[in-house]
Amino acid sequence: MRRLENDLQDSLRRKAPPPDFVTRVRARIERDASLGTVHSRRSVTHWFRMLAAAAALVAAIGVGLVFEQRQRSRARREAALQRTLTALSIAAHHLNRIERKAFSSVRWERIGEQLAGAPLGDSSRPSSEAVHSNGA
Amino acid sequence: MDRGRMDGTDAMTGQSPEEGMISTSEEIPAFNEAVTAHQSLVFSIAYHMLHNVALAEDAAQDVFLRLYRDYHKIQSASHLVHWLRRTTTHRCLDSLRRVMGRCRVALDEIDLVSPPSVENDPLQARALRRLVAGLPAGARAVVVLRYQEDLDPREIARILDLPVNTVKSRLHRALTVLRDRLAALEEARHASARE
Repeated sequence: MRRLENDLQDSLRRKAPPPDFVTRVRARIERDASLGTVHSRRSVTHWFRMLAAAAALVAAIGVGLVFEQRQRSRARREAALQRTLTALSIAAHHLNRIERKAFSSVRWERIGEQLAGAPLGDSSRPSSEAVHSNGA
Repeated sequence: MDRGRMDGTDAMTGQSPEEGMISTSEEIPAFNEAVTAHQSLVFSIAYHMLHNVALAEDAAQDVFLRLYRDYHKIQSASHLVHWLRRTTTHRCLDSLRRVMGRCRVALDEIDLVSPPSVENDPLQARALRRLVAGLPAGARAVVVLRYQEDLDPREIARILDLPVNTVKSRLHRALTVLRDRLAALEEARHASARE
């Protein structure tokens, strides 16, 4: 293995680039710079990042506002529902009281009529006065 | 690398400097020096990775173009060398992936019986370079950084963003494959010499 490693070190020694390599590098930098790719790439990236950050901020604020508005309207709806339920329960309570009062007054009226001897509902049945006069 | 910041015009491009670009009169000669001093480092990594002079030169030019753009990020001479090694290796790996698609051949799957046709190559060094070029891209990068740049596995791991143990195992397997291929190659040579 050691021999192989030595051979590898020998065969993978640094190699000089072709002649005029540095000149070609400079020429390429100049060409890219004149096309604006070198200089503008960074500024474009910079502005793109800024724009993306601003868009993200606006989106976050918008989502927050919508969320808050929904929460508020939900709370309003729940409060209104609660008020309606309370009103309905009060109304039901009053109705029950009125109903009870009405039934009890009708019952007392009937009892009073019975005590007074007035016929209650059955007109075909002869009254006690008529029975007595027929008998005489 | 001592670099100050001064206002000035870019002598290389003749354009006004922008933020993050080479912008000082001191930086331009420093950049030119860096290109001259490290051209063989960059070109050699690219050449041993890509095994093609034209592709290697193109990759090396790309690396120096990127260095020109990111020169303000370089903090020291050692940082510059690390940056160049890292950028060149990743540029070559990208290039190899583009050319060969996602090469996912494991080292164990390499056909050892039929090594590249180097029987007629009289130079052992060239034969070895060809054998290295036959390795999968990841293993090739490890071997090139280890034996061209004489880096230890920890430095290679930093450059390739890999765990150290992965680098060690890749290196070990690559050496095993190379040794077996070389043995097969020598056997073939002896056989042809006997005939």
